[in-house]
Amino acid sequence: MGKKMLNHEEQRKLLDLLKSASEQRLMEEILSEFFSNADLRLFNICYSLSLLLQDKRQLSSSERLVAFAILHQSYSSQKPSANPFISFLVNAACDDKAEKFERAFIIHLLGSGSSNNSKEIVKLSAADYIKSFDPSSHAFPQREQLQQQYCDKVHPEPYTSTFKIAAIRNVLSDPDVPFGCDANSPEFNSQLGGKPKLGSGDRDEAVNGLLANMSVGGLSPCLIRPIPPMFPVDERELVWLNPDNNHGLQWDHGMCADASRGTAVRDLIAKALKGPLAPPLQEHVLGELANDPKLVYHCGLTPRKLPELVENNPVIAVEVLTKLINSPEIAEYFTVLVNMDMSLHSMEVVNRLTTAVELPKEFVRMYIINCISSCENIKDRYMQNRLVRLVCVFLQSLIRNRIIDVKELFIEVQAFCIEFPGIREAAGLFRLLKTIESSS
Amino acid sequence: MQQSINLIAKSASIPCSSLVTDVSNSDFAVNASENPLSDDPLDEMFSILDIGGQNLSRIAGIASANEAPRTIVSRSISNVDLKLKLQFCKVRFLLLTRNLKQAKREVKHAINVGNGRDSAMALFLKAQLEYDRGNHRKAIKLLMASSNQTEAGIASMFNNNLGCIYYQLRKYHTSAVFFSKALNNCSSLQKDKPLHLLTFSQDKSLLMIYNCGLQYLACGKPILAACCFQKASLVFHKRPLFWLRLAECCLMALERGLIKASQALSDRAEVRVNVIGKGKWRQLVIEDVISNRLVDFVGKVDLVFGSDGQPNLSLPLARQCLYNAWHLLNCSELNNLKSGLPASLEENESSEVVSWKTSNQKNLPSIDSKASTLLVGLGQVNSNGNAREQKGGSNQGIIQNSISYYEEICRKGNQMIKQALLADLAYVELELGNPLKALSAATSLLGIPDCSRIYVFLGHVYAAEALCSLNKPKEAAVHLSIYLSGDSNAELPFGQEDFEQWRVENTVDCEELNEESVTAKNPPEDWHNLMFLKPEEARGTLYANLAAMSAMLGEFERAYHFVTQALSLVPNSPEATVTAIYVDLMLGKSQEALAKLKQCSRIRFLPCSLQLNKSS
Repeated sequence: MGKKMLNHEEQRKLLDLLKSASEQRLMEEILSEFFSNADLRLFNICYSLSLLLQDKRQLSSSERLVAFAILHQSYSSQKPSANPFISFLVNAACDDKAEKFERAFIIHLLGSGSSNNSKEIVKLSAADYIKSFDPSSHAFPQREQLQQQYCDKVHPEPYTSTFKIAAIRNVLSDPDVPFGCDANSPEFNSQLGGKPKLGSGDRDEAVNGLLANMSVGGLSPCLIRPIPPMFPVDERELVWLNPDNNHGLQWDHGMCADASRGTAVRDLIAKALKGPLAPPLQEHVLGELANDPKLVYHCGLTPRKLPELVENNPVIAVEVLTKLINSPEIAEYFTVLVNMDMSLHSMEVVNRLTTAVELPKEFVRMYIINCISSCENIKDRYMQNRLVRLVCVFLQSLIRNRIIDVKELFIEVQAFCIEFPGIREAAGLFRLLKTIESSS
Repeated sequence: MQQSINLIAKSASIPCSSLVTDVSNSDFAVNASENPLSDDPLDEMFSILDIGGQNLSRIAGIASANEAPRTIVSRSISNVDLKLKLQFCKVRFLLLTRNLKQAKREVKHAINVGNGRDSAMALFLKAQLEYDRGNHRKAIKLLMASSNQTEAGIASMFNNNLGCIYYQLRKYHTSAVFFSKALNNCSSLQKDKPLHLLTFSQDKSLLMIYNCGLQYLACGKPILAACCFQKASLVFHKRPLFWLRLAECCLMALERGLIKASQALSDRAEVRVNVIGKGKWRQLVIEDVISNRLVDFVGKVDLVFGSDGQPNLSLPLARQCLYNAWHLLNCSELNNLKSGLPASLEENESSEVVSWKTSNQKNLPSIDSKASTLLVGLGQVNSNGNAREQKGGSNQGIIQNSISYYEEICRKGNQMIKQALLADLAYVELELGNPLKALSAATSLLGIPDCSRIYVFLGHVYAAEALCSLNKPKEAAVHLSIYLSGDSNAELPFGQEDFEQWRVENTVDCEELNEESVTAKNPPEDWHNLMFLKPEEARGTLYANLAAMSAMLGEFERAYHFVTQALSLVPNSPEATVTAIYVDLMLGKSQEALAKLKQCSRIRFLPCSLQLNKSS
């Protein structure tokens, strides 16, 4: 619903005003009574009146005069150009089809703003004014002249859209009279007391209705605004479901489960670096390491500490290195193992490792060469003897178990045997070499 | 110890080989046995796994020789399962990237590999393939063939998929039945069991609810649809399309007068005339159509859902949704650009900073683009792993092609969404009385390359109206007159074929479509027309708006010509009728104006209320 122009109070006042105009009352009196209502929205009332005035039949002559007077007087305290209806008034004054007395009346009104003495015309009643009107005594100025006079300053209009500017009166006259009859003939005016005739109607009722239904907007051209279409749903937008792999979650029971076990082993390993562990403790460490393959990474061992572990607890060292065989640090452990001082224990560790896992060939070769040079460099005869015997046994074991290929180290090992002819194990090793050489 | 290891190796080899002979009829297994260095990375992967198993067994043998045989047996059984699962993954990947031709091949392969195992999965995938290809009947048959619909989880997916199919067949009410069945299955799943982790991780109900929302939207129930979308937002809030759908709910609610404090468009789609006075004094007061349009939005806008749980659909909400969608689209575009570049650490960091700055939501980049970068990454790993050269048509190539193809589809899809989004936005801004914003949306829409002619039309119409509201009727007329051939004849702004293109662009291989699928692709003609103007109606709209603009520019004879054309094409349009009456009045033809008013079918005569007489 469009916004109604007038509220009930305003409609009632306006109707009273128009009714009193038909009576023999002075216009001045009517106007001052009307303007005494302070809470009226003058613009809305004037706009409604201007709409009613556009249809010349709608209001009686005296009503029209009062209406024009209101349009003018509502804004008479300001300059004529500030009156929003000034162009409407000027146009009405220049309308050749309008009654002469009406045009003269408007011109008179317009002139009254500048000269106070010409207010006398409102001191008549509307009917008297019409009666006493003498067309010969009035000259009607040109439209341009009036426009120049009263619409002198172009007012910056408040912003309105083109549609609003283009809007016209939205009232269409649709006389409901029998076909072929002239709607303007007085026969259709409603007669008091008479039986309502087909096509007759009450003018006041129509004015009432118009005032009640007048809305702010007029009739203007209208643009179609199509509603955008729904974006098409393609196959992919609807979610198609396929059975999933039912991957359940697997709980890692070792994770964070028993931190104390780790700490116990860590403590034992720390002890094992300083001296041999008692057999039950050693068994305990081995058991723990076997139960939890990841424990080895948390036992606190580093490559630098390896020689101490090897010297004090070779069995544990073997187990730890076996577990670490696939870890990236194993190479570092091997480097440390190769470079540490030769001893019974280190040799035992390497020997055991060779049977447990596959050691890199290069590592084994380096170790053997290290062993041989260690034997040669020892000054203490007794210790040298002991070490040479050990190395010989170690080598024999490696050869018998096919851990090393003798051909690669043949010269080094042969030279080693020849260097220590007095040692029984060296002679045995030499014999072993000879038999391998002859068999191949 | 050495001996025991040997024993283990022997015992392990027996089940392995027997299983290989089991599936030796499939070319997959033949490949694996005859040609260990085949081109198929999958095979290679399996052989690597087998070797790994042996290595492990040797180590394990040292630790605990007794346990080893069992673990190896179970491992070798799962090898075939794994093969099947990987094959399924491959099919799903190909379906996702819409490489339907290849998917068809691989799904056959999967059935061969499976040899009866996991047939439900295979049938579902095959049904999806047929669904994607538009063979809806065949898809239904395949789904029906999947046997174990008794299990609630499977049954819910089964029903959901049937719902999708019937939706595509435009039997929305049937699809509604299946979607609600699917949801019932889901909820029974949650009730029956004691809380089980899988029930949650496998819960698909939000996806089904989204489907439901789409179905409600298609049935013209925007509020129910919005309720569904609200629930589904947990999963979908990063998708631009999701927000577009929610905005569409608002627009549909507006159209149907379901938005509070507003007038239904259907009410507005008529001329309201107050009849005043009787007899010779009878007068008709035409209510202002334009001022009817302005909707007051005084209420709270920020709450999407009111305290009663009902979605609070409004035009400002529509606008917010459209902005969200726009933002997400731009983010994913930005991301796609990024993913093409070699990603250095610095870049990653900077892009993260940007996404933090531009929005409050974390991880805005869309799921799709992430998946694609992941896949690209996988491909690279593969190519690094294989030093050998790949032949054309290898898996590697297929994966790369599929991904680039899929990215292209996504890009196109996003462009389509962008068009819809900007059109909606321009419309919403016009409704909200922001012609400047409407104009900028419409201008962006017109700036999209290869924009659909439907949206080009909307862009011009909206831009013209916005310019009119900004008092630039001449510039507005330029937008509409591009459709004029000669001085006074408007062309069809778009054709029926534009509707087809709009949909079909997404489909891929149409080479083997049989008759059934062709009919499915060409839905009944009336379908589009329910959704939008027919081409002829669009032309009528153009004429009507050209008439209104000419009238405003004071060219009444021209306006008269246009509006006569308009009324012959869209006789029921109230706007065109009002313009026609206006033009007649301006030309002094008041009798014609009256006649037109009375001929209009969308008119409501309101008796005037006369309470005034009593009060005075």
